[in-house]
Amino acid sequence: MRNTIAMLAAAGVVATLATPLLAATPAEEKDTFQTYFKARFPDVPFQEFANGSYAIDPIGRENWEAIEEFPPYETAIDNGHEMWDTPFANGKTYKDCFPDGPGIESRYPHWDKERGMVVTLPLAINECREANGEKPLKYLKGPIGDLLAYMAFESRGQVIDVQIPDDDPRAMEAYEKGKQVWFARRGQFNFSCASCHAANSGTTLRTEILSPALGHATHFPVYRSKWGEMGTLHRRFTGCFKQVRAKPYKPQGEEYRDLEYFLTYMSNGLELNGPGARK
Amino acid sequence: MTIRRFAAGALTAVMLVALPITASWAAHRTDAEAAIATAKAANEKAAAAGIDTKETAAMIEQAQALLPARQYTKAIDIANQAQKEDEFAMSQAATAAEGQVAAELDREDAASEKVKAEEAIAAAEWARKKAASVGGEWRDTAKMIKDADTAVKTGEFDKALELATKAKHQGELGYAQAMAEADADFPSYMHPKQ
Repeated sequence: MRNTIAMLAAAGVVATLATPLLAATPAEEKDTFQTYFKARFPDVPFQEFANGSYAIDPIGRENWEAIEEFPPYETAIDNGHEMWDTPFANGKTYKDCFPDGPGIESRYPHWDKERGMVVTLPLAINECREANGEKPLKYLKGPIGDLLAYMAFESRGQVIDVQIPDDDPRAMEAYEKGKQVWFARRGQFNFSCASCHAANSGTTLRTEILSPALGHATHFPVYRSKWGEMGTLHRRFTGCFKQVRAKPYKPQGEEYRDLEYFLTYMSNGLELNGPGARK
Repeated sequence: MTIRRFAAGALTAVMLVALPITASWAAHRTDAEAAIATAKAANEKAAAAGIDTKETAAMIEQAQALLPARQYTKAIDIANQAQKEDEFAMSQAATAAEGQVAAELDREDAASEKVKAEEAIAAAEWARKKAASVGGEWRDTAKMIKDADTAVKTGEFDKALELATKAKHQGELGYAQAMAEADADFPSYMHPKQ
């Protein structure tokens, strides 16, 4: 009896000590994430996941390809180009903040070690504006959609490669928080992002086919027919939260930036293909 | 029998029959006095209830003044009229008084209903904030509380109480939900089958 108890206690100690070693790393979780969708949609080539439900819905794809001949986001790209070239009141331009030009979307989101936070491209744009005495743009729609459309277009083909640095545990914490937001059930309907875009991806909700989450971060901003205009990734987050009757988080607040960090990391390896057109 | 005797007999017979009949419809002084007394009693009651009885009091005096002239029927009519007017005035006053009491009771009820609604709104707001503190607030809770506030201002206390109760429930559920989901992670179905 005493030996049994001793053995059980030892096993418990070993298990407790070993638990951190057994926890999956972000890279392993990314592989799990991507393997799940590849298995769920075995006929979809990897890069096609960047096209969302149009990779799995042939009729939707036909319509979408017709729309892409005269994309509704073209005007936004032109407007964004103009914004990029137009000096601020102080004479400086966006190039002074982003010297490598507009094609830098693949650098975002990233962990800013100095400030201990996730930095997204819309956040960086507004920080640039404020640093040059300009008013920040609203984060959900409007002119920011135009500028992002231009920068996304210039960044097409770049491969997503979000990093979670080993030398800063706060980055890992941000990733974990973003993961928790994505998998947590919320709202009166008690749905998580995973409820629709993992467990039920490819099935029909009302009249729409639920897109797989793999590839969600590749094509924003989008011109969404429902909106009749451009909208950002955080606008889509906001809409989804409202649809499950949860109160949305603040656009570009910590929660949504961490969520974007996790979600974009999960699409590492896919090419950016924004701006996009969606229903 | 002579005609004279016949006529006298007939006249006696008629008078013996007609006089009692006539007396039955002709008012007596006692009837008039009784009517006046009843009218006076009603008049006093009305005066005690704070009703202005000058007019009906004058009518009663008028009825009394008719007694010496033996105008008993007219006296009764006037006395009855005065009585009816005083009684009507009393019934109107009683209805108004009941209404006042009912209104006072309603005001007391309303005051307690208002307090209940306001307390429910405060409880709902506390529950909403608690849910929000853990990221668990639901979409409609704040609006329900705002609508409850508006309902209190418009006196719709039942509606306010119902909305506030629902909002409180949402806040409690949102908090419990967020706490239960605090460790949300990859579900088992996403892991490859071994």
